[in-house]
Amino acid sequence: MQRGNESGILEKAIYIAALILIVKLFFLQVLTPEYKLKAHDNVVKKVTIYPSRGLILDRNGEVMVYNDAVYDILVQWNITKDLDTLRLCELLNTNVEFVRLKLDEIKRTTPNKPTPFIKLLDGPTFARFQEHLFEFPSFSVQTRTVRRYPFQSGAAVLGYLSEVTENNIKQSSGYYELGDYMGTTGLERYYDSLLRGEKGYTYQVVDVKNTYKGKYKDGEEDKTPIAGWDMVTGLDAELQAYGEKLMQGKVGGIVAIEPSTGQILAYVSSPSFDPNLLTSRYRRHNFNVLFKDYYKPLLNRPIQAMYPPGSTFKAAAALVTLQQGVHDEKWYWFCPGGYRIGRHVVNCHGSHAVPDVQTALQYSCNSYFCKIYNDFIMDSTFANPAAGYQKWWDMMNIFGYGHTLGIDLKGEKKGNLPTVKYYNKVFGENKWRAATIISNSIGQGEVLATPLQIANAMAIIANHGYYITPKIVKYLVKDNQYRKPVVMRHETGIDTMYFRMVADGLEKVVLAGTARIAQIPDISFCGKTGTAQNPHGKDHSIFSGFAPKVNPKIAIAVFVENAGFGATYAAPIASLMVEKYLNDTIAKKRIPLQERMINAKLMKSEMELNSEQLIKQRKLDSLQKAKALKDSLEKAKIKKDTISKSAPKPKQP
Amino acid sequence: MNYKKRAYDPIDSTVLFCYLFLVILGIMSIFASEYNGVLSSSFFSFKHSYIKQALWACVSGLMFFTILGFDRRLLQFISYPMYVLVVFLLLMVLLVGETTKGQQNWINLGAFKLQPSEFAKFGTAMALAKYFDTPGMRFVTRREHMIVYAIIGLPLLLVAAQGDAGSCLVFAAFIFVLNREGLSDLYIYLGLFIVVISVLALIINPYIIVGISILFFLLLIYWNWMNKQLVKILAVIMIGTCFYATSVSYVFNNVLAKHQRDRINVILGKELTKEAKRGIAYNLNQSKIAIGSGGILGKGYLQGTQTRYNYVPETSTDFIFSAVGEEWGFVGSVILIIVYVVMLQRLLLLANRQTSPYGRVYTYAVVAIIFTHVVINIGMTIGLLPVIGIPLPLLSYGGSSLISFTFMIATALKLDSERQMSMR
Repeated sequence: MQRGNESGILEKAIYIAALILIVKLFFLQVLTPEYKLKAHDNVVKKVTIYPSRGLILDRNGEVMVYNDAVYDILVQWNITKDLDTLRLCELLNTNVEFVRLKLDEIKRTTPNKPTPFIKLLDGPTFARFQEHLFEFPSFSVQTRTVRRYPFQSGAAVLGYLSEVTENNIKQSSGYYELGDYMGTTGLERYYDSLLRGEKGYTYQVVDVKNTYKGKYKDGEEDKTPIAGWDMVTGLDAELQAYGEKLMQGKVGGIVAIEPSTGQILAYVSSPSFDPNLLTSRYRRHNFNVLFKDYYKPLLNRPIQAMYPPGSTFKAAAALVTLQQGVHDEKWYWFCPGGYRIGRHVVNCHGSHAVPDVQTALQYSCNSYFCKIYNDFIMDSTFANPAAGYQKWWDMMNIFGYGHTLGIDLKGEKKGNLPTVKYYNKVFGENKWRAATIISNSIGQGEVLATPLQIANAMAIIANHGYYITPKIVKYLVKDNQYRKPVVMRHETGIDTMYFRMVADGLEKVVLAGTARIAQIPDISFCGKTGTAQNPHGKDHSIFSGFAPKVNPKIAIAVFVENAGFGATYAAPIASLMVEKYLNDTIAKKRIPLQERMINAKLMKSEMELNSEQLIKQRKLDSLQKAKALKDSLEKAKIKKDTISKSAPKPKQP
Repeated sequence: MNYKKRAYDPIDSTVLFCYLFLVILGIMSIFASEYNGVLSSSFFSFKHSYIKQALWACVSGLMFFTILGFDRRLLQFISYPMYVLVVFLLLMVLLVGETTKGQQNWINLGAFKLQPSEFAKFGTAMALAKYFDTPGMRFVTRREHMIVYAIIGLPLLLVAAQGDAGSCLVFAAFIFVLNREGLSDLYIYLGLFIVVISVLALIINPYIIVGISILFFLLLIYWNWMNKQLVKILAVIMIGTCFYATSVSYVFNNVLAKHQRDRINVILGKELTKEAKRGIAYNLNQSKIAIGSGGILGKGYLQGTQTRYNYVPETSTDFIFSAVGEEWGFVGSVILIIVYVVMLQRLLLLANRQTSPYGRVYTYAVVAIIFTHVVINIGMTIGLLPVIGIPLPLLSYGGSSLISFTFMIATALKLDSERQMSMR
């Protein structure tokens, strides 16, 4: 018996509903491939494995930089319960307030994943905490490496690492990711791409609570990290540390070069600091302190500070004059106690006879060098003074002045060797002569040089005519593969015999001249003092030299800012460095000198700085724009801006 | 005819196979959603859902055979008492029930929890069938209509009071049964029309709907001017539509609970609160990712990452279809839907060949209940319908649900195998 409505609406409704569901499923599962990617993103987490960064060794195989494990304590907020805050504070050496604030911050930002709670925990504290880690189930540990510096020196040359910026990420073409560390200064920066190695990855499967569930595809797509290249430098770690010790309490720099190879032996920028400060838990605070310091310890003085080279310039000046044949070795000059140009006089130390170039160097006779410079440029073989100056400029230029030398550090300054074009602009074409720019002859005036350039000039004299591109790194090594920095031999084209003459003169400087204080027992030390006049403060003390005279092993330049005569500080410090390097010890009778140098404190204390009006003009000489000396400046009435253009102000770090 | 007395009458094998397929797939999918990659020694531990579900499946099997052993007169006899019992249980839920996720629909019986709304569905179906089986019942008088509406309306109001929107919709599906028994098709179309107007009123400005409907109905009235009766009906519908369209947003904002509004807003693609984005929208999106990432052939059994690693919530219960969709893909999902369609169409056939109103109405009600569950459940996991907590019949984890669906199907099969009896 059938009754009622036979329209079969439910039957049709079932078919229609099934069809609608299937169509929607078709769109979802067949036509929308993005869901596969989304599911992959959900479940698969890419975890970076950091390679160990290359070590940095000195020339004797001493480790200067190594990697040390530190520990980040992470916490996952959403699974944290019944936290014993007091116990945590006790174990981690923190206070309750810190824990509360940090947990609040994590709760607000990333409650669902392990987030750094305390970063860079040191080994002993971590060891204590690890024993009790089970009491804090939501806490986990991430091991990281930081750089350690056993010699606590070499901050300026070794550099430091810091977190990458957006810009770094862009420039690294995808290698770096947010939160990575990269070399920011020094060798760490210059050789970053080799030292860092290659990051590895592991793909992990995680559930919705971010708990590890296993490897993705059994680790098929994982990539093992490749360790960075180890680096062997030409530095002598002990000499480096000794140099920083000698320079403590003084502002300036030391550069020591092995002349035969161009390798840097010591690279001191003073005031220096312990590079370990920038890797500890308190690195941000330490960095701020260093950054705000009046004496700018982060400035890389050996290549970034430009000083007038002063009398150390005279050795090169003598060489170009001899080579040009303006005057020979035995040319006789009587110094009347100064060199007069019009109303202006370049003073010398009393009137005396100068029978040869050696004597001129020995007593650093200003008028002699003014005269030979004048005679070089005004020589009748040149069409005009500009042509003469151009020739002089060319020869000084191949001595390494006025251009960068190509050291393997970023930010090298080129100093200043004023060009003909520059003088034409300032004085007008054909309106200047040697006398107008006489200060150049004695390394004053517009001439500026970095300590590296001055040391390099000494290396040229030590080598009797050439220099090798100065480099800090000897070679990089990984798995028996070697990479060497590209170096070149730069010839000066000056005859060897002239170098012999000048070297004799430089030897006399130490034996019986201005730098007798720098005498080292049993070592023939050749050098030249310099006292750079400084328009805004006490003179800079400069010394450059090389030793031994025959077959030289070390060429050195020392700068001490506002320290007076070259012989007062720079010469003794240079001699101690050379003695330390060549003899390994300091002779007993020179120990008092060493102590005097170490203890000399020329930097002003914080209190003195605050009390002085110096505060108003908080600028250091090494940070100043090039300021030409009165003589050439006043005559020319140079506008300030034209000068600043030609000699750019060193950038602050 | 040959009336040999047998222990069991032959039952419909198509429905039985579909039933077994679904129950087994259900246990497999529950296992898949809990499987964590290793088979530990605690594989058979009773704390796992799949073991519990397998246990419930055994209980269901026993019940299946018990029911086949029943006499249909017993079923008819217990119909009204059963109805009274489920109504009583629904009242108890309101008094002593436990509240989970804004729904108060559990009674804690110590060892297990009872969900009376699951039993209320077939209890109501039985009472309805029994009433239609009353001699002389023709479903025409006002009194008959009132009693029928009361039988359905009472449990509907009680589950509505529990906040169980899914079960409400299931009771609303009884309209298909009434339609089969003589209620005009117009009422179903009217229901559909109301749904469409509701959705439109929520998406676009209700006054636009008012304008369009006035224009539309005036045209209809103009064309049918001669038919006074139709004009009257059209006028009533027009006024009703205008009134309804303007009141939808009021009802939406003041009658529905906040989580219900959020669920509807997700489907309609409306601006969401932060809480809803992190809650319901996130869940729905994860479910769609799970199903969508299954692709054509699926990731393979036990390879579903979304469901196994808990990105999709409630994978073993309400969102079990996500596990099927992810691991078996489009092909598997379509097969599952086809199995449901075959089972329901077969049950409809069995209903229509019933000789007594009791069997027909009851089987029809069973089809309507299962149909509503399947459409709403799958619809919500793929983002077609708002998320409503309602199990996928025979697949979802849950003892109450499995037993109640087993009971419905077993009784329907029993009624079919015994259909000749009423002719005697």
